[in-house]
Amino acid sequence: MRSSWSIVSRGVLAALVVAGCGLLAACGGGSSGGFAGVSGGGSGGGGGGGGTPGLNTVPVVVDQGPPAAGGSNNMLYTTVTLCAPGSTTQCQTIDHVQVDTGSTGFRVLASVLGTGLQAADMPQSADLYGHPLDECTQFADGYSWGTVRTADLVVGNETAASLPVQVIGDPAAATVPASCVQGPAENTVQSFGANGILGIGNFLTDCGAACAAGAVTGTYYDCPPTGTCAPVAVTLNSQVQNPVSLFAADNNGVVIDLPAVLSPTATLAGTLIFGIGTQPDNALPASAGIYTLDPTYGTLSTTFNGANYASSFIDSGSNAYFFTDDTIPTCTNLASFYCPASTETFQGLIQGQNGASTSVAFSVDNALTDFATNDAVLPNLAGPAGSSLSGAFDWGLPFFYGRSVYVAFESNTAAGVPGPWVGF
Amino acid sequence: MTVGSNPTRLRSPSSARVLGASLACLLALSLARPASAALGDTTASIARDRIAMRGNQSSTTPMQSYDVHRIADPAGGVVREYADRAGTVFAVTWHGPRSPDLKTLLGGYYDRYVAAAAQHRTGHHLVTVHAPDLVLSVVRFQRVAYGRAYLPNRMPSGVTKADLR
Repeated sequence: MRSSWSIVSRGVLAALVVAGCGLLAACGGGSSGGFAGVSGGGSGGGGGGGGTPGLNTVPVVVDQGPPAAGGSNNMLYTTVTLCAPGSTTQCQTIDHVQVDTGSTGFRVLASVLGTGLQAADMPQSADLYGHPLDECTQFADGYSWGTVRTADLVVGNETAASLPVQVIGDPAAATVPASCVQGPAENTVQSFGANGILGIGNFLTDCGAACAAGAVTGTYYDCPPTGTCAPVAVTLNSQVQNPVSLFAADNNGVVIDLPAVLSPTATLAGTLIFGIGTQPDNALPASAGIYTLDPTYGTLSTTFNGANYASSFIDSGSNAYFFTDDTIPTCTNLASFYCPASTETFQGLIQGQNGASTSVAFSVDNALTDFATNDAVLPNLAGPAGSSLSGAFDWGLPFFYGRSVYVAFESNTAAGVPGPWVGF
Repeated sequence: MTVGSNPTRLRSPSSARVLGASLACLLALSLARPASAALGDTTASIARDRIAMRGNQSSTTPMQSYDVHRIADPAGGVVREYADRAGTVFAVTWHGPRSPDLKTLLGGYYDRYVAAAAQHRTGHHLVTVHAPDLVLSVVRFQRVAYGRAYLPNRMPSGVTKADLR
């Protein structure tokens, strides 16, 4: 147990840093992306701290993303401080970390480290053979390969101590195994679209029991000093963890709170709140519904146009509504998005495994017109989910605009209901 | 040990781990074999796939103008390959905790998936392709991986995308 003072002091420092970012974002309008860059930790000054947020919150922003990524739409970012375990000096503040309810675990791009914290300052995990542990993360749009290391992660005023994280593109990682490669590599800020990712979905670990019971291809790899990597089993505690679940308090879920926006807007500032029902600021209102998720997959049901999409999901990491309606034309030369002649409004019925359901209205406008604004916040952006019945219905970040979305973790109870669930 | 050809260290101190690893990699191995059926290819190899996957569930359901070859793994993953009467795979679907190897499953269309994914326009959890000759979706969200791909120009007469579950 390290001293509580050091944790508090780091937390306050981080809070000041992110509060500053939040103010800048609020005042800077379209130029809020200008606070990009990675500043060294341990050198922050004191002072003001006006607009003090709750101790369990951190500002989030939808903006153009890190400059190296070349722009983004409907992507939610925050700022964190990453430290060597137990250290208050080997730290680095990292902005433009994507806030993702569609994955679990903190991952940082190795290329942004080096100003305050080196990758090597965070000890690499050893696997059951005592060899270095590397990890492959397979997203839908590519794979990220890197080391598993232990760090202290400070988000707002909360600290996840001794947290297993992935360092993507770590030069110390072994050669990527062929079985990891699915789609393009996402090992740089440019290809990943962020300086890191804060995976705060409903699960406590990224892989779970399957990887604890046996080696699973495309996840964790045993990488002996000589020879090549092979999949390896990893205990739950050694897997990359949901950072919030390791906080000392406010650790049973999160709330993403974003203001309503009706048309394309340069940036949008909101709040990520830790815990559900643990503080005055994160109580689930009586007007909100609780929709429990499939405990294996983390999905729920959506009914749209008479069809049921049993594997649908609410995801801060998707940048649009993705669903199937063949009456809406896709965009010329950009068939990943819809381009209706005028704004159209639809309704989908979201239903949890507990039977609770609610009708959700949403609008779809012309994506090419949206993109032409060069605004980051596109509240009516939508695209086809690809193919047939029982496919995807993806309620992406636009769903979060104008809502407080509650994400309750598995193995926890929030608002009297066992997770995993989503509430709004 | 070489990369790819021996993807799992099967010798381990835990018999449960060996079992899990063996079963888990059976599907991956069989799907990773160059001879296995892929979108746009013929089904001549599907029978060999079934033999290779002994211990897993597999079945073929004949429909009026096509066959559905269903392959399931113990972890809950299901792959369906839809083949017309000439034996050409015109659609594939999958759903489960892990994705099958897309290089093998999508065959010559894998590069189209890579190109769409490389545009990075839709986030990390969903990629789609909508073209006259290929419709594809790849989803990886939390702990589910699913998707489907079909060739609109090669659907047997009377078959619609609604038939692809």
